[in-house]
Amino acid sequence: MAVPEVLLQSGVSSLLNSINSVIQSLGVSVLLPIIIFLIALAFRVDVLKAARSSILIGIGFIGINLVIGLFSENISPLAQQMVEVTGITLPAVDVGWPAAAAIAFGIAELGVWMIPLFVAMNLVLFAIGFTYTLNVDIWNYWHFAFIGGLVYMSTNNWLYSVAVGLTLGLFVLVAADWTQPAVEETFDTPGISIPHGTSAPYAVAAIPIHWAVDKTPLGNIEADPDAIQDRFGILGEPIFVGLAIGLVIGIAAYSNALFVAESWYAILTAGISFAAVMHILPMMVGILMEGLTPLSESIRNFMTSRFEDRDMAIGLDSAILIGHESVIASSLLIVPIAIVMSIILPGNDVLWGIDLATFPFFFALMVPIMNGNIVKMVVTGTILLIPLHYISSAVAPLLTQAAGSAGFDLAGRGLITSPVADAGSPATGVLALIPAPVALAVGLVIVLGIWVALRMWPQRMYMVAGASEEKARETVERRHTGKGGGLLPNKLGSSADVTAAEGRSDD
Amino acid sequence: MTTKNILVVCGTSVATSTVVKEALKEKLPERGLDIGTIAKAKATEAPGKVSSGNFDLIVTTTQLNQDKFDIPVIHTTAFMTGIGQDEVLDDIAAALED
Repeated sequence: MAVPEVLLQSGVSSLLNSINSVIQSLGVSVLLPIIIFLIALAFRVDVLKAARSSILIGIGFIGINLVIGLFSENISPLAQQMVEVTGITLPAVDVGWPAAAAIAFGIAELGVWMIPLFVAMNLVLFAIGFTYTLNVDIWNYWHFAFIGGLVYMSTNNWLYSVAVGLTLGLFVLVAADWTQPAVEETFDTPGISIPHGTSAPYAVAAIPIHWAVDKTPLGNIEADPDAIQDRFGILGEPIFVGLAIGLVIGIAAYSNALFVAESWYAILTAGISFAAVMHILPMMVGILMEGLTPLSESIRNFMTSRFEDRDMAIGLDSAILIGHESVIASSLLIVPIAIVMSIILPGNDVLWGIDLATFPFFFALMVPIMNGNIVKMVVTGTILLIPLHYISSAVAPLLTQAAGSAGFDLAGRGLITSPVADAGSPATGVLALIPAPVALAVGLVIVLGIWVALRMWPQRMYMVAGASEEKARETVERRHTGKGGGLLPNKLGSSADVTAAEGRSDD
Repeated sequence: MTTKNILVVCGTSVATSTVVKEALKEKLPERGLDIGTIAKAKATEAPGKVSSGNFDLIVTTTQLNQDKFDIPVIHTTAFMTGIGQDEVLDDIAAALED
């Protein structure tokens, strides 16, 4: 009977259509709390706590939207005017990592679904002995959602997007294992590794660059990070950086009318608005984070309680590293360099803004590699700024589209980007800018290459990431000798890598 | 006993400091401590905020140069890893009771 079947089909499709239209009209600030509530219940968070968390997450989204509105109302027109007056064309405004994170989690089809997917992947990889890290820092799963979201915007293919997001997840786990002894030694953080989606790709890319920089005379200069931090003092705080950038953009926009009082009203307003965005946006993101905290505790217990007898590293945010004086000093020094480069690099679209305050994440894992030498850190960082500008320019249209899809109102005022985290990251360049199947293949080859190297020459690899010979050997003895807890081998090949290669004493 | 104010410091004043703040808010009153404000700060903002004289203790998830502060500084990742929380809470309580 054909007729009822057609009716049934049209019934189903109209049901799907109406579900879709409900989702569309609810918006992220309602939809996301509902999804988080369900995920929280699945991880056995108490019902009332889960409800409170979910509401806070909705509030956080509304707050972030307000601040982005303030930004696009006050700053974007000025940037446009700056183009007209000075001829400097930088159409992609830097809205910074807080907005990028909110956009990433806000893409309804993908965003927070990365949380259970990554937890499952991490548990399996730990169980089979692929990684030593349990990444309990669920807030920073946004990096995987971010890269997946960009791929979703370009392919509209859910499977590719999830696969690419999880490939970044795989990379940060392997990178966390790789850098763990060095981090533990430099920052005094026993048992902790840093599977961070921003810090890890930059640090891994910095290794060959630093190797080359070290061969030049620049490798011999020392500078005292404490003195630099003291010289900047309170001026190094984000609100002063924000004020300065706002004033500079304002002055550029009104450079043809600097002797008119009205221009200065606008310039000063730009300064204070920019400082306001710099200060308020992280607070709004803090509300989101507060909402995620009970879920993150449940997931932590869910993950760690399963493997209490195994040698594990708990994966945390690189925020715990960035009080280090070399990180702070390098992050201050690179700000003027980044601004000058954005103007002189041909074809750059990035107009720097909020992410000028994000450089600590860029430098965090470079400290052990470069022994905290800030000259090397800044020189290596400056070289990395070249691809950073081009990658974040190229990604801007996708990120702008993603923002729209996550329900953020940019009022059609041009492009946005978040150059440091993660629009300009080498990982974004590899995973989001080339066609998804190729990106997946390249990403997996890199990950497996590092993994095999870590199992073949663990001591040498730990030293490359900045661990001392002693620390590296100690870690090899703890991790890579005897049988591990998982199915995969802890060590490939038989010889101890460094003594065999260097000393050749045992054969 | 007087009300004590705590400054929680991390890299961004967004992520790890929120975890610590929520944990302190829940667990310190259970120990009979009278806690006033628990504020968050970035590592770069900490000296400025502390110089206001409003805070009695710093709890930080990242390294800070202790010489720059005239109040006790406790460096811990226990609230994020879930390992050794009770010991750190003991330290915090002891520092606040002085």
